[in-house]
Amino acid sequence: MRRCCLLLVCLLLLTGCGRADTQDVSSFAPAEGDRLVIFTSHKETIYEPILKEFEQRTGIWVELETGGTVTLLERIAAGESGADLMFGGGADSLSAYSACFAPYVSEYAGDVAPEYDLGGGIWTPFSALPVVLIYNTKLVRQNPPGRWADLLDAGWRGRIAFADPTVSGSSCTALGTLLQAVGGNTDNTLAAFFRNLDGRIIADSGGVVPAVADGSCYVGVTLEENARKAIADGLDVAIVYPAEGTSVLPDGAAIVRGCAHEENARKFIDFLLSPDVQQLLGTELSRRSVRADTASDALPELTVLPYDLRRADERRQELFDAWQALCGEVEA
Amino acid sequence: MRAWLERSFRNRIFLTVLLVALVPLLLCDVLMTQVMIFRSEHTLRTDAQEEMALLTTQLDALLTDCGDVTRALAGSTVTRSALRRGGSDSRTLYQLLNRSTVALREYADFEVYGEDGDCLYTTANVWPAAQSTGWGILSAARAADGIVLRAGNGGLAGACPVTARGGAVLGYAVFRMDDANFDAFFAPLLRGADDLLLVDATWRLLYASQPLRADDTLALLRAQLLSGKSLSDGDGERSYYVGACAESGFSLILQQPQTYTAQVVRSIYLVAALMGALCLVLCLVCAWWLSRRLFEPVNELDGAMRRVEGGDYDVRIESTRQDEMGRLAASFDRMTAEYRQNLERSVQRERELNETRLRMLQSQLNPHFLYNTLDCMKWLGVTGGVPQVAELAADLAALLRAGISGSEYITLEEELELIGRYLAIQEVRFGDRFVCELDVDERFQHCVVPKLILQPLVENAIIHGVADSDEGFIKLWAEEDAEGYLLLKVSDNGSGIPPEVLERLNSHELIPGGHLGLNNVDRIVRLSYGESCGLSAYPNEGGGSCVQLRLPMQKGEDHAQGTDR
Repeated sequence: MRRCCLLLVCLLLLTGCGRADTQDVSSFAPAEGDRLVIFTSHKETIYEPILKEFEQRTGIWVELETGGTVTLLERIAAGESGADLMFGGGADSLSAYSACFAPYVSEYAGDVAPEYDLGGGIWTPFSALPVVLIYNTKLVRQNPPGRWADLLDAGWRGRIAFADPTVSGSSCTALGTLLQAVGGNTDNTLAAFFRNLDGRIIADSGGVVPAVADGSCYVGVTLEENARKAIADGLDVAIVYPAEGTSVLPDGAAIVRGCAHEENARKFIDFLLSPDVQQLLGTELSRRSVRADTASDALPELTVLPYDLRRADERRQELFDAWQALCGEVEA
Repeated sequence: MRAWLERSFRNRIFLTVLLVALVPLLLCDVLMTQVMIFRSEHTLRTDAQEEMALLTTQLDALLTDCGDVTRALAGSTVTRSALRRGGSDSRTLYQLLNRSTVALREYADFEVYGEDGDCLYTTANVWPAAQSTGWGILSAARAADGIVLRAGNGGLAGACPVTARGGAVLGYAVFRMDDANFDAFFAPLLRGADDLLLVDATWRLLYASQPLRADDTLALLRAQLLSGKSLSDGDGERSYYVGACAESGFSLILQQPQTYTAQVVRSIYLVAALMGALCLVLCLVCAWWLSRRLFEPVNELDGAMRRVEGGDYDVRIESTRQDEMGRLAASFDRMTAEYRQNLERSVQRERELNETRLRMLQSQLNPHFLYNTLDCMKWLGVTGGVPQVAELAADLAALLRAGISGSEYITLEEELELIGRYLAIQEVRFGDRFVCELDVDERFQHCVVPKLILQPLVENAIIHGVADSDEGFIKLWAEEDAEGYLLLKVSDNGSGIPPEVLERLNSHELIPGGHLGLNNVDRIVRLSYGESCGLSAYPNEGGGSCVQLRLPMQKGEDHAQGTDR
């Protein structure tokens, strides 16, 4: 019986002794010092050329994970994410998670325009994203909107493409900017604007440009980047920089506290602020540079409304409550 | 299991046959599969490595050639002066461009860019777009101040700055390789089903011979490389081989469809397992049949033996087999038949012995009365003055006493004395009509014989031999034959025994109408001493006949021991 068992074991071993092993490629893998793990919420069109150029210039291998800003930040906050650097996310988001990041002052920090330098050394601004108005060039031939106050005009009633501010960060910023620009009684202005929307609220910020371009709305509120891409794609959309000025929130990048490849992460931050990348933002990526010395001829000068991150954070909740109240009235 | 094995030899044979057939088969099955797959994969791997070595050397050679041409272009005074002059219409530069790149133009396009990144001269048919000088290949070339190789727009590019004597950059000499160029270069080097990926130092795609899903594949491979795993696609249908181009720092990834994908291997194992199962069934059936066929007669024999033990002697194994089993069965049949016959014979003998004893008991019913009467007659003869009557009565009484006395066996001497008394009686009856001579040698006198065994013989000689003649002669003597038996012979010169009676006598059969005495003697002797003893008779040459009794030679002491038993 025992012999039988032995035989069976031999058979199992024979069948088990596996397939020929594959080539050992460990010699092709980079050393630990040549790696960088980046979490990004940017679109591929933004991060791809930057990452490739960074890799080619430095020889550092970038491992990338993409996802939504909040999802990635939550993972970083939970720890053990393996990330070295968060690339992307608005100023407010990065500030909210500042506890997760290691402070770093780039060698180019002095070149950043002061109005964008909101990170206080915790995070570094990457690009500026002004909120702008857009209109359909075929449907609006005369008297296009020129100011934030025009959005309260009854002529646009029900024809304004505006994303739900409780969902879209940029829409929330836009609402705050509107209230700030119009001035006067905030509650009245908000109510007037809400009335003018006539219950038409776009589900998320990506739907604003298509709504204006396909003619279902005449005017819209969106980021300059989206509008410029739509124009580049040949859609019937024109940009209006409101006369009162607009808020320009930067997005940025931050080094994760206690990360494995901090030196490389710093190189990447320096690279992001370098004139080469900042120049590319304006020429290729439809964005605005945060450097004071990199002006793009194609982009008009902006009148920037000052934006207080800390106050905005406090005011956001009030704004949300007021907005919810207005929505509730309509439903009732 | 052990109990099952020990219960029957058949089970052991069954298991042995099964194992002997099955184990080598399974071993072969498994070994063949493993060796086949291993060998095949080994060959594939070796081939792939050779192919990879060829590809990397060829690519390095091409890139070196292109780099040399580009460097020569950048260093040429023709280029320098054309760029310094401005414009894009220098015929001499075009001549130089065409002349120096003629051998490589199938694999690359060569271009000269101005210092602001505009393309001024090109060998390509389609005029390329201006390049940024702060980004990408031109910026890298200026920084490196020599030839650099980079991923360009949809391909590979190498650039070398054209510098004035003072060091100022006048423009750039560039070579570009796009997918079409790579296809032309790699197509003759690649084997049938293989795909190739060309990646740069950080494994970003430069070229894929099969662009469909190449990005996804490379992303997967790069992730595997970075996480320290071996390269594979998700479902194990392809194998990958990586080769480094020493000169350029690029890597080539060769993608081969696996001959033995997990699915194929599963199928092979399935087939092997099915074959194994089939053989198992076949072996089971054969082993069962063989063990059964082998053990059918043994079992039958075993059963028959049991029945014989139980007392059934009619058992027969009627086997038609010609082999050892058949012979064994036949022997068994013969043995039981013989045994049965023996048994019948001994039963018969027992019965006959009993009958004889019964008869003797019956004959002993009234001997005492007869004896007393004879004694009375003797005394009457003596007192009545008739001595013949007294002698007759005394002889008869002696005979009678011998007949009823205890022992069944007496010595020949005693027997002869009884015969003498019998003859005395017969002499009274027959007078002088016959003479009887008793001639027994002294050495036979102490032989033991059944009591009164000779009397019927003598009586037969008197009554059937000499009764009717006036000069009858009877002779009784003893001999020893060649086998050491005692022969007692009674011869007469009478009319002789008829041949049919002789025949019956010699074949130990009952003789109808008389000779009962001879028959009894024959039977008693044969029952007592066996078939070799008994009575026989033959005619004398000079008339009359001789009856011969064959007995074992037993002396008095031997006999005593014999009767004790």
